[in-house]
Amino acid sequence: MNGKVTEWHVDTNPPIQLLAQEPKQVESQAYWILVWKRLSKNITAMGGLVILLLFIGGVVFASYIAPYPIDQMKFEDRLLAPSATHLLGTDDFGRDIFSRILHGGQISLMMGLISVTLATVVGITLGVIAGFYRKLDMFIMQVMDILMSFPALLLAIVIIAVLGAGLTNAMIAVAIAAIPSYVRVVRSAVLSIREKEYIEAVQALGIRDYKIISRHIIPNILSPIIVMTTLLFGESILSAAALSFLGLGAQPPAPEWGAMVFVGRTFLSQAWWMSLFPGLAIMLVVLAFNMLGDGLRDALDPKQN
Amino acid sequence: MKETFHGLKKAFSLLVTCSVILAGCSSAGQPQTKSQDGQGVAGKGGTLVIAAPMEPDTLDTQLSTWVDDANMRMYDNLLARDASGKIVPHLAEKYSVSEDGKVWTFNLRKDVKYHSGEPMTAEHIKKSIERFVAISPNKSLIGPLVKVEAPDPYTVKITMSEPYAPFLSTVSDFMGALDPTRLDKLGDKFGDDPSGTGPLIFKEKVRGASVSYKVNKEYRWSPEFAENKGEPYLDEVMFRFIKDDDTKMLEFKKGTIQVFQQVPPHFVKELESMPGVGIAKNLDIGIQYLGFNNKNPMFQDVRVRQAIAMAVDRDPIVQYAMNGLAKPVFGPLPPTIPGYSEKVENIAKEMYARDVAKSKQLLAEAGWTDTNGDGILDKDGKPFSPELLVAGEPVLQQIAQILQSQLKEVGIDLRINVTDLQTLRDRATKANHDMALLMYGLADPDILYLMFGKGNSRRLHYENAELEPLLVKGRQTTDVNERLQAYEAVGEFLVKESPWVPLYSKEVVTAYRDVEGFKTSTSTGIIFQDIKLIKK
Repeated sequence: MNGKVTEWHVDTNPPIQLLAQEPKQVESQAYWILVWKRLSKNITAMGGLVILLLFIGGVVFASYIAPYPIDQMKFEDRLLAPSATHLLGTDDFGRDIFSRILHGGQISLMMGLISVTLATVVGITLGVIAGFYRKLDMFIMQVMDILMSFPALLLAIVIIAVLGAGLTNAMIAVAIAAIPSYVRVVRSAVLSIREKEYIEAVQALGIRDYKIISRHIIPNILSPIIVMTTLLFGESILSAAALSFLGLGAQPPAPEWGAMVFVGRTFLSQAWWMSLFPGLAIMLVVLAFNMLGDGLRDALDPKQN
Repeated sequence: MKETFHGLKKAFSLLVTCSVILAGCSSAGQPQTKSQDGQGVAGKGGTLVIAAPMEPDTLDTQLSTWVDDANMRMYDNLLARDASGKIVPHLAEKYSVSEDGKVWTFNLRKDVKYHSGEPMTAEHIKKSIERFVAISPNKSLIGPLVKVEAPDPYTVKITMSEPYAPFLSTVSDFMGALDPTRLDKLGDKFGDDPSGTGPLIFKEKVRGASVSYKVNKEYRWSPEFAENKGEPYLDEVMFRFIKDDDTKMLEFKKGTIQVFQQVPPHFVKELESMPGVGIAKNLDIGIQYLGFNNKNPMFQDVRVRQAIAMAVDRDPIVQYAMNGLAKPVFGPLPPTIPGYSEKVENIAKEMYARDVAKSKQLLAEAGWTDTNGDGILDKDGKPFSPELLVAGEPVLQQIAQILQSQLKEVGIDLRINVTDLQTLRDRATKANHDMALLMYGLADPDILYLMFGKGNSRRLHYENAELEPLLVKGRQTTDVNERLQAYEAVGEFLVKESPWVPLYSKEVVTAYRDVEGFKTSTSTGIIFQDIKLIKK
């Protein structure tokens, strides 16, 4: 079966037995193995993955790895340069920056995860509705076009101005700002698939819409969604950091990376390490997500090979 | 980071009531001048460029709540205050107050001319005062004014319905002479093309960027503290409003700005070590405080308020957040405001020296104990977790974090909420908050009436029937010593009641370069008359 499975997703003549449950499982598993094989040959993508795993590991086990508590102020240790005792130096309150970056990663990555999840759920729902039910298409897409006409960060700032500053609201704002691009991608993917014969076939068989969507449409638009999600993950972390930098996201003393860069800015001439390292952390994570995202797109692209 | 009154500070600081002697104002010291680097010659002409802390909303100081060098120096006031805070004559050569304290008489100089060349007379002062009373957002500061009269061209007589001690600071400050012809022509739009009798003549305003002035070469009526009695040396003065501190610093280093007002604390060390840069430090006429919303049930119990005051340690705040450029203040008034009493300050210092054990004990007496062992006090199942509103300034965020860690030691979980100034003001005014980091400034102890007097407590929401008569006495007593005593009583009461936690009074730092004869202080503002630019 292996040789044909790749075709399965784009095949214009899907086997009718697809409606039967059992072979499907086998096929999709094999498909993902193939994707992984392709991905693992991509050095850039693997580099991104390794960086990400390192960060995630460090962040998840922050409380074990971090050598110092994050909120304890020790004024005698303030603004120490990076050294063996303080790997990345200390900040204006004598707090260890390495420890704060590890703990801050929990906030930054969580902000990324939650806002992307939120954007994905809403984006897919709206995108599928717009693509599948053509009557609602115009309405939804026009709203999305309006949203898209604002720069994403500006839109997020406006939303925060309405909701108020804070972590939760920042996540919501980032998610809302990310939704339109999601909807676009999902909608166009749905559009190309809903005209396929196999959809017509299942429609002819009288299968209910929600079943068609969940069984036949969503599995077939998974690739663009995965790519989109990875890329958006990086973008969301960046926007969340930007919002915190502007003082609209995480509130002090939370060690959110963007907020740390902001605080460090005041001390740039005395303590460059205060801004540099959290900034570097943001950069690396976003870069890693983008590298992985690019790799995934290549790996998921059926036209390759 | 200005509360309403703070905006008025500079203005008010120019004058104080005649009846009050400024105790301890010598600490608002003389600027420390560093020798210039010797290159270049100081001479006539040139444009002085100043980086101002904030753009004034309007150049019509009667309509503005922000008054500083950038918008007030087109006007002169009836009286002025020198660097030590002493009242000196300005447009009025002398003044007197009647026996009952209700009628003030000012005798005007006869040689004062407007920028247009028209001579100034008492009628114009009357007109300016009447306009202020009619339109200014700060008109309540003028007190129980009944009428203004101009019996002859060089005498102004002002009648009050009852004695009002802060009157002189208020009226003199805002009662500069506004060009009457311009006033008739422009009315409320006076701020678009303002004119007066002051050392600067309006030239051009670029919204969001700068205000430029020509120097008034005819100016011969500067207050006595200006050394140059002849023609001013400068040609023009330009105030630039650069939002970012780093940009200001870069431009100052480059030399495109000669005067950097309100230098942030963390730049001072670097500037001090730069050759050819002079630094002037002046203790602010106001304080930064941690304000409770006294309407909030959380802070109804005086023991809770006292306990929080005891949990605060001002030293790390002053030393680290302010880089040592501040003086800790425990009582309601800083040494720079008349009415400050060492006795009150000492009582407060003793009562609220940091004492974690006693603070915890007071909180326990008030019913706040840690029943669930999470380190946070609770009462009726609710944790003691007040929200602290802070404006976005980095220094204030640092202070908030220091306070947070200090209060945590007594079991209070302070939640910091960084917000924009407008939201902060709005919520504080509506009493829709727990605590806020705020500041006040006014060169008169009547500030306490404006903060705690009946119907006035718009930030702290603390009014007290026992306190009210003390405050009223303070504003109605024109005798110096009696007035000081009245404020001592006010101070003792406020220390005991602890409706706020005073934190510190900051050093206002001004850096300058390529100038000779530069002097500034919180009470005089920049003395333009004496400044010479050094040309390289």
